[in-house]
Amino acid sequence: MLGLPVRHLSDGDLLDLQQGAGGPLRRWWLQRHLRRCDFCVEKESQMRNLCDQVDAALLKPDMRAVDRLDTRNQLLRVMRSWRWEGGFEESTWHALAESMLRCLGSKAVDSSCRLGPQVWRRVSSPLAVFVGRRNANSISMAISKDSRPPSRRNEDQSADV
Amino acid sequence: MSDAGRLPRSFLILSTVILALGFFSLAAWAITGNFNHVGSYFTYPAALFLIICSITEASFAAFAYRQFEPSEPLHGAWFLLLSGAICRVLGTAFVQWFASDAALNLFRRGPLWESVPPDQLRQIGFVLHGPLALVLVGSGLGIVLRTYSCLGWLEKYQRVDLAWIGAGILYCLHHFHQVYLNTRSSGWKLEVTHALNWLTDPLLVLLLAEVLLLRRSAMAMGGGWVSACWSAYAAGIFFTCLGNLGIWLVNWEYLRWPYTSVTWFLWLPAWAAFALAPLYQWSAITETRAACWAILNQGNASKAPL
Repeated sequence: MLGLPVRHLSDGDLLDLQQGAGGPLRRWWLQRHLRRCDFCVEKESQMRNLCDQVDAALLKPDMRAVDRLDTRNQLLRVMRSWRWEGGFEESTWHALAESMLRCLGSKAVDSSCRLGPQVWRRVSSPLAVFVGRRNANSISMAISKDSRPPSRRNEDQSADV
Repeated sequence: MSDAGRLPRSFLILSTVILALGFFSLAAWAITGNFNHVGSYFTYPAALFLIICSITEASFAAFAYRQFEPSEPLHGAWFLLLSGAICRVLGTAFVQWFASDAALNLFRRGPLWESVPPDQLRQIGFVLHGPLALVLVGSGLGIVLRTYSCLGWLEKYQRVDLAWIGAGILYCLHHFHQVYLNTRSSGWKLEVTHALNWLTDPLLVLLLAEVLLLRRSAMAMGGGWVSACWSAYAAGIFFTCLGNLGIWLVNWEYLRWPYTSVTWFLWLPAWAAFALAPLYQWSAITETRAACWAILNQGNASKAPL
């Protein structure tokens, strides 16, 4: 209304909202924004759908295998689903999944993957504990950063209420 | 194998070569009957290897310590593990270098060396890399166990673990009984360094109980550098226990000179395992950083013209 540019909710904001993370004031602000912004409502619903799909896939008995390949595929699937819109090449995701397996071990990653929507936080948290938050956070940021095409990102940033 | 795995693998190869050299010296002794082959091995390559191991352990433990911020749980653990490693460097230097009469010891004809008997230097070294290092390492590994517990990844003891711990407790009781008899027969005269070294056995039993649980929990992670790091510490403590058992066999004359030298070999894998542990931690950190760089570079590439 005032013609000010609006900052839409980021993937991190939406995750916090879904998981009930953050302080009450922050949650109130996020919910307030959601009530007013159709773009973010749509984004939130898409993310919720993705989470449900991942949860459903991970809860299937055949997805609980703890062998290395299955775990890597699960991890890949989960990581990809948490991204808002793709962007990285398949080989990069493979490299990241392999690295996490090499660091933490297949069973540790597998058990973290089975936890559902909080998967990335659960997977990155033990990694941060054992290799240092400073080292693991950079991975976490690389994963969660917005990689939408620049044209789309610019559009969002200049949207007015 | 990834780049991160090259350093631990190279160190494992070096350790294997040094151990193989030791077995060759044993074989040479058996064939020729000349004990000098074994003596020279422990005076030069083995002594140098132990010093290299302890310096490697301390350097990489210092690297690991710097990766954690004070608010993180493993900051305290790596501080204690680093302190233990420094004690091991000093202790090893005292025993293998300063107290040695070999050409390796550059101070051996200096005034200081002549004023302090080598045996006293050796005793100081034993205290440093014995009870002092063990207390520090044990406390550090205790924090690691607590971290596993917080993550819900703490496993339970199995029967074989309990059997090891039970045997350790029996050995400790026997050890203290002997200490009591010996000190009583000597009119309760105690030397501080000897008394401190008596603590080594009960400490080792406590550490054994700790590392058996840590190893079970690390193994349950399904491999990985992090798990290899804690398993290496567990192996180090296990070989130290075996080495101490060797000392007991010698003291009770189950093994007689020169066959006692066979037990000396146990300290080499123990020191190598202690050095490998922070090397594996370095691998975990390097792996994580490499993954981060790969994804960041890819991210930048994907931002290029669409």
